[in-house]
Amino acid sequence: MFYYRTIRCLIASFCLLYTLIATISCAPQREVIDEHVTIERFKFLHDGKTDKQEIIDQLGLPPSTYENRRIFIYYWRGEESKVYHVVLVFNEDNILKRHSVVRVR
Amino acid sequence: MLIPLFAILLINSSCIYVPTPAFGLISQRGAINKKIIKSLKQGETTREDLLLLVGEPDENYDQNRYFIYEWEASEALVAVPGGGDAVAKKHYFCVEFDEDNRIKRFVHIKSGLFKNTNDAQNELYKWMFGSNQ
Repeated sequence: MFYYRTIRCLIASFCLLYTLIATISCAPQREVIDEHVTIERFKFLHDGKTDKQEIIDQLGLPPSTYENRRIFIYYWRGEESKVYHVVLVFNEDNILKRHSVVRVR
Repeated sequence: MLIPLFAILLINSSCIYVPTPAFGLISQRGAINKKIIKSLKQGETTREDLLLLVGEPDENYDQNRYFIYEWEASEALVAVPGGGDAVAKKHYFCVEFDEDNRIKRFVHIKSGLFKNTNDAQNELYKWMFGSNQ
């Protein structure tokens, strides 16, 4: 009898622990940050308006580029060690076409 | 019938493995969740779209033909006599692009209880290059 009670208690404890973890926690995810609450430093970025040279003047040369320098990526370390990737995509006229700020850590 | 069987298993085994939802990022960057993966479309989603969505990859191969995103999250608890610990799973999310910079194919591989990190890595290389590197 005591044996069954111990087993039941163990199973119940595991179920409780599992439910607790499932309810209150999850692994950090990559997420695109809302443009309106974007970091102050990047607020001068406007799709369809800001040009590549203006961005280089303000932020310096990008540490990473893709597709023949059509895409720029800057890294930004914010508060509480949060790390962001600022992704900038340009059109053929070197005007900012789309951009996003992705929290990666 | 099942309870005594479970009891014997508990008593005889030296540890108990409890799978849990992902609850902590151990290393590398933030996880790429299922919702993001589901939104990707072969032949449609571009490299540009992916970069805007999840940022820069941790590794790339063959002049950006392959992007690899890596992260490690604790997804189980192991109880052993006298203590316990979290079990980490290594995740690889790999994307291959075609000549038009669109997604050709992608895969999400993770290590687990029966697959160690090396096996997961080999599976990834096999997926990419057709053989282990």
